[in-house]
Amino acid sequence: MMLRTVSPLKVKVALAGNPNVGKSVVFNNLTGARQHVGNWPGVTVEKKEGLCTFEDAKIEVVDLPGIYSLTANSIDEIIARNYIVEEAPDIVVDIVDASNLERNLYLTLQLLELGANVIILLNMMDLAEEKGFKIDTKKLEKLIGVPVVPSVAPKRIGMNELCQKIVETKKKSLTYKKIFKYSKDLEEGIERVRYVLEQYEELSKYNLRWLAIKLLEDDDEVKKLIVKSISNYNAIFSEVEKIKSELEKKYDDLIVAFADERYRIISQIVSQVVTKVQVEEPTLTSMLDEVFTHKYLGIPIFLTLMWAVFQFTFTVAAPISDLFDMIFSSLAEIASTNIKPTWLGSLIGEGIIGGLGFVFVFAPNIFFMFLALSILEDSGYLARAAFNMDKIMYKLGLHGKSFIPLLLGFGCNVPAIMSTRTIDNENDRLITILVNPLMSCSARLPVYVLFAGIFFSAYAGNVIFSMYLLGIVLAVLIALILRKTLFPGRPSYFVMEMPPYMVPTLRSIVVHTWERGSMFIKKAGTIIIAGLVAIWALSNIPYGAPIEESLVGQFGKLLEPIFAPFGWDWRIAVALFFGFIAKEIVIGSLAILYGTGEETLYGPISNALTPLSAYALMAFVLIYVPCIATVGIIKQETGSWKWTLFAIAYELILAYLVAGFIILIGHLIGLA
Amino acid sequence: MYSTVQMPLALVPEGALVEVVAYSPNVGRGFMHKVTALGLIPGAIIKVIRNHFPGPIMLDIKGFRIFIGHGIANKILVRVIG
Repeated sequence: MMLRTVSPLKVKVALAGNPNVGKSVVFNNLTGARQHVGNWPGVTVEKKEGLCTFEDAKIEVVDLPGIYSLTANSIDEIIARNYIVEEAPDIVVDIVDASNLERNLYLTLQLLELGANVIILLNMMDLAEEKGFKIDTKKLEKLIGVPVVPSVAPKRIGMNELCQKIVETKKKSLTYKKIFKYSKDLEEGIERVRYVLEQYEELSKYNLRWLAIKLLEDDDEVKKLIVKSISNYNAIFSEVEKIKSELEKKYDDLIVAFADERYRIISQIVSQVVTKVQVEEPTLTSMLDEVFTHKYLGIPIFLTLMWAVFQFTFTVAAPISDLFDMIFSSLAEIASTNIKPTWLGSLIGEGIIGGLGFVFVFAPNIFFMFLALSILEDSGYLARAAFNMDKIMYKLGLHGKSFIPLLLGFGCNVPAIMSTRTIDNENDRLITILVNPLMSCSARLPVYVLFAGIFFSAYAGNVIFSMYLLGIVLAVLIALILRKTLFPGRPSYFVMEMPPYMVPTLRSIVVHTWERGSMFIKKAGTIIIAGLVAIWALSNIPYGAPIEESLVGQFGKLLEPIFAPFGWDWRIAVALFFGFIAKEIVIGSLAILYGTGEETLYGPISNALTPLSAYALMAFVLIYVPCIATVGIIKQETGSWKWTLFAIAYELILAYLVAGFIILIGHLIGLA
Repeated sequence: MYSTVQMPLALVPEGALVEVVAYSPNVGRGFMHKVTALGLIPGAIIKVIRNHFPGPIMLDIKGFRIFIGHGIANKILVRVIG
């Protein structure tokens, strides 16, 4: 008997759509955990790919960046375009927000113009209904000429139907390519340009109608393509110019003329498929915007919410932190008393478990902080916060879009710096990246909590808050200085969409929080363990010697003079040195260096420092290089060692100066 | 409140309904591509929800909310229609 093997059907699918239409929810629904995140070739825009098996088919899904149109004006649009043109996916799933049909179909029209094989996923049907729209999807299908699958992605409604459509399309080799006709004059112009292009063999693999339209729209990328593929490109350009100037007798501007025509086609379609079933009443979004973006109330509300986020982060997490602390301390004790030989017990107990304990105690804080930020982001509030802060940001020489990356910096600078990708202008983006480490990330919090608890117990909260404030003030100052010196000019134009408010789904918040928070766990499990083991080893060589005479002791003594003016001893010098790996290590290494657990760390530290020198130390920890991961991400995002080294250097110098300044002021007002 | 007077979008009071008339003469292609994709084309009717002059402006374009910086708003000429 022979086994018949059927090779699975392979389908290549790209997901396209405007920002905030639920594209990533659809992507996650389709691919589940089978995702691969990388970068698009040559640029630092995130590329997500995944695999979806449906019946006997393997569907490879690529998530294109969220875009409004297919012009050549942003890196995201160019990526999406090039992918569709060069990689020729079998199907482009265009995810459309049903509650904003008119806006979203603009991209659909351009996808069809490009010659993509489009299936529309009409998402957010529930929201459209809430807004009082009734959409005749069958009619829409007929008018727009491509399949339309209604869906509510967070509830997974429509996902099976979509997969079915995709597989069916591939199996039957169906193509959905509707051509929408522009006005008579424009069509004539397009035909004439097309005729010119047809003479060139080299262009035959492209969609000539699309090239013609783009040439009339003065599209830089298409012009580059012509220059690249045809030696006699000037002949084409001069023909196109001739046709353009004739058309421009009729239309003021061709870019506007084409856009106008597209909107005309769209509004014809929309008027036939959408009926408004109820009279307009103020929507939730407009009511909430009344309050959240109020001229005078907006900022106080924002500050109140931020205060609530911090309260939530620290108070709610406290009991869980205590629990972790208990577990780790007892584990460490069990390990160091029971494991033989003693040195191994000491390594595992004090070095690894003890050190990790110090770090993991803060995991609840970090997760709660990300949880709170995810809720603010997914609910649509963060965009409003950016609106409120734009005027202030502009005055500070920062771009309005810099605000969200700076805010995310309180959680972790790594995702925060990655989120600067939304800023188109290179100078604006560099400034935002360079000052981002000054936003006090959650890894620095353990250091503040420890020192504030020991030296300022009654005002610990205020002292910690002052660190965050100091970070913000310094970020603003540095941004102003950078704008005045290295990056002259004004922040560039910007536009930001305001997603409708919605109650975030539990699933999306959990996924969001986990994606970010798990980076902390990974860091703890790898870099931090390695750092702690290194410190433990160095402090135990030669074994049995008093710690001052160990390798780490000798090294610390070498560093001590640098920090002597601030009254920090060699142990702190060592902790700061290793804190370069990750700030969490500062505390873990102090514990190792003093050879104690957390309960007993208070004693030696309160003897080693004064409140003044402790405060200066907190400021130093705030300012100097956050961690290796941040350095890595700065290198990745700026693509330049020059700026990476610049960031490290200015932060070290600034940290030293500010710590010195605090000590000086302290002495002057007699606090020492 | 019908008016034929043109003014930059940046100066329109909150709550006004306006029609886009034209762009300033000195705008580039990049600007044009950006605003047309958002639906800010001559003839479009938009509502000014918030105007934090001289800061950003929040607009409602056919039920879709965006905010644009002062710089862009200064280069879009509109007339108030309600």
